[in-house]
Amino acid sequence: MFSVKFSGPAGFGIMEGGRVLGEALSSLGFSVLSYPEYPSRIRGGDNVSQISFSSLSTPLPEAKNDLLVIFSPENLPLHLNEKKENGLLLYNEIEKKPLQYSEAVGIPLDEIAQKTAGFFLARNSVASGVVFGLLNFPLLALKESLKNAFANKGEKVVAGNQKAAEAGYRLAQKINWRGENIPQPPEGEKKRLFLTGNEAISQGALEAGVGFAAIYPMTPINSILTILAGKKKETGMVVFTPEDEIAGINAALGASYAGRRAMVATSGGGFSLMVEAFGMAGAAEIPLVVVEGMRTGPSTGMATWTSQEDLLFLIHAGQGEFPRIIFSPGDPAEAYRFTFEAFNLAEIYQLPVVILTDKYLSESVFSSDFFSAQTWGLKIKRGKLAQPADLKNYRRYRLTKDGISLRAFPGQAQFLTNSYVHDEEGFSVEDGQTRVKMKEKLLKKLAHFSSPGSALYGPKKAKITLVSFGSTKAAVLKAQENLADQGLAVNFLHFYRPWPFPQEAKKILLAAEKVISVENNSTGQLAKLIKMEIGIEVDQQILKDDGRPFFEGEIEKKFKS
Amino acid sequence: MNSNCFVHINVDINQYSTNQPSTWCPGCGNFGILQSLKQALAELKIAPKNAVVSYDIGCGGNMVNLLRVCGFATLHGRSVPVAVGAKLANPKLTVIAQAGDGGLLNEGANHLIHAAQRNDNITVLLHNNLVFALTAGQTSAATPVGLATKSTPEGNVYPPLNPLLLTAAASPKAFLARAFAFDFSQTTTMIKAAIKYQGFSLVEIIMPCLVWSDDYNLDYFKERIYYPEELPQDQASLLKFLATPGERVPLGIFWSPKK
Repeated sequence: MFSVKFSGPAGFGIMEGGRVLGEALSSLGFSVLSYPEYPSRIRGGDNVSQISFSSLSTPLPEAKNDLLVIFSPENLPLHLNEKKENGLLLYNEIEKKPLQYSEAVGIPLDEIAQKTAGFFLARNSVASGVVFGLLNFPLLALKESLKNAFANKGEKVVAGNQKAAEAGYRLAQKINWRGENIPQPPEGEKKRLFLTGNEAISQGALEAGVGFAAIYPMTPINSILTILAGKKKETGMVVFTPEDEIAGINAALGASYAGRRAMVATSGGGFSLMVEAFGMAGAAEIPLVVVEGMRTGPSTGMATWTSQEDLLFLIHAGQGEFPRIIFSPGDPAEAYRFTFEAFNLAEIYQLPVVILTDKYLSESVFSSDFFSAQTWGLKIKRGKLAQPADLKNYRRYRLTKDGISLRAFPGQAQFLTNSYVHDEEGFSVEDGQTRVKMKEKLLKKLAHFSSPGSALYGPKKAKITLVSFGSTKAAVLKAQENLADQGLAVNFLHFYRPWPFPQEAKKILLAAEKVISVENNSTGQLAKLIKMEIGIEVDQQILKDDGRPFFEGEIEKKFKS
Repeated sequence: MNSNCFVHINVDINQYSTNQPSTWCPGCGNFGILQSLKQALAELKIAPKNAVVSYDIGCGGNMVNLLRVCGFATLHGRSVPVAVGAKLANPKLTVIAQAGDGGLLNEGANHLIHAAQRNDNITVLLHNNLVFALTAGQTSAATPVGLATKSTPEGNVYPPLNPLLLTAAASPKAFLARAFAFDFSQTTTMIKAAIKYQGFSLVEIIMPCLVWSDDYNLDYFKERIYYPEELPQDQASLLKFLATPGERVPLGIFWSPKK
């Protein structure tokens, strides 16, 4: 694996630069990860984009880098220790004066950008050009990637950035550095995607026919709002930016009740505000998809950093008991697939379904094998909708064998919807018998829900079983491979839908010899869930809770066999 | 004041009736609001399946069992955003949000001013009984200064919020009316006009709680309500009119701007 890091103040084009460089590498056939780190501010500070790539395996973020390009000298001291042994540390030489850091090599990014493109913002294209030059990769791929990235800003911007990249590429020839272990582009072209978790979620929602999204801005789900807002005209969907998250989820429930596929997206703080209405979705049996992007908590926490602290919160959120489904996709392909499925399940079972993502999955850009709805045979399924013949004597909450009643919408029939305990017609009631009957109906809906919620990687039988949920998937897979290479019999059970607790996972865990959980939190929430559901104590917990995802090699280091 | 509380107008209001018992005290203003709303829907020929009515929590919210429409009993303070979502999803529906003073001026005040600011095309009926009633009589943001309640035994000290003034300040486009629940005919007229209005409409319906609003009871209001002959003609005089409480309580449609 090879890693390049761009760093600089917010507003210097670090994120865009990392994305473009990643696109270019991805187009060469590499598996690429562009992982952003940034503070919660609009200008200044230290924005970082780490672009890791490999021709063999899925790249992970890593602590050290092969190439670092620092876009402003002030940011240099923060990254002096992040260079691999034979790595190269470059910085944007804005003024010609020697720095105290002898290991850093100055290159005039700003000057070249100004001279070639005519604007400083092209400095990230100069930097990408330098990287491509040092690696001796074909410049054409980078220029194509720049063209795609800036097409909507006009030819002048495209041409300027391409010229800047070219100049950077030429400059690299004068830099005396010979990198080690530079991956070479794999043979044969393979159609790959390069996308963020949020882009995958948005795509899944759009293809599943989302008709209403209420989103109050909050890191890390903001790009979902941007993407969906751009699709309003094309799709006819409503994108509602509410006065607060409470209004958002309540409006989404109103829209779902009125017949549209509805979603909200937020982070833990926003979801905390939504919890009461989340319960109303359960009680009144209204389909809803909730995207919850976890970030470092508790409370405001570290707004732009990752974590997996909300699993048990989501499983238990809301007063009273009601059914829900929680997905925790491990990569963009799963994010797309399970968002699509979430809209189906929400309508089939008439309840809230959560897509639990996090800052790392939502905002990093990942290479992914090509996927579409056809990959998994995904089709829109709306569940039990009342047909014209059903509308006579229609009862919204009619008791049925499976607990699921026919849904009608206002305009089709007169009916009641109710967050109070209600009878079959929807009238509020307080008698014990009806309460018990209706509660049984509610809980019956998922009582026999048995579709799988986990995937087992590696050998069926192993001495050690690693378990994790959500975005830690790639890191644990890598650790599993590495440990297997050391001769250990190890497999990996990944929970992509931790709730309802998957039946097949119970069997696997009960038969496992030794179980090790891997989570981005401090209390081991998946381990607790496993104990709660099947009564077994996980043998070891590997936890990381510093706001960063697991880096390359970290799990293996903490592993005790 | 029109005292013909149950004037018979030749429309079928039984289509909006259910077989459920009411939870309201005998003589409660909520009966008047229910009757006026049925009458307004009937006169406007809105079929029960096309009328969405979302409810707040409280005595007024218990109307969900009594009004045969597409009723939706929501959460405390949230009848407005649910209504907004339903209307955005299907603009063909007639969408009405009902709430008490607790639900619109305490818990959900945020939603009231923002729905007005966006000019969401819904009608909001505020059942103003001056207190939190169903929880047995505590001070709300609409409680008059001095009224002794369970939460303010020495009398409420905070001047009440004025819902019409708040809404007028949030949007010059909001339809604004104040009704008295015991005046069936005028209340019906105002609800009808509010439903017909294309944009955000608010009808504050005064209905003093018969149990928990001692000093501000039915007689207090009967002596003070009036329908002013001259009404504000521009935004500035509207704000002044709403912001200047007199000895009496004006009723009527105060603001119904033409686009």
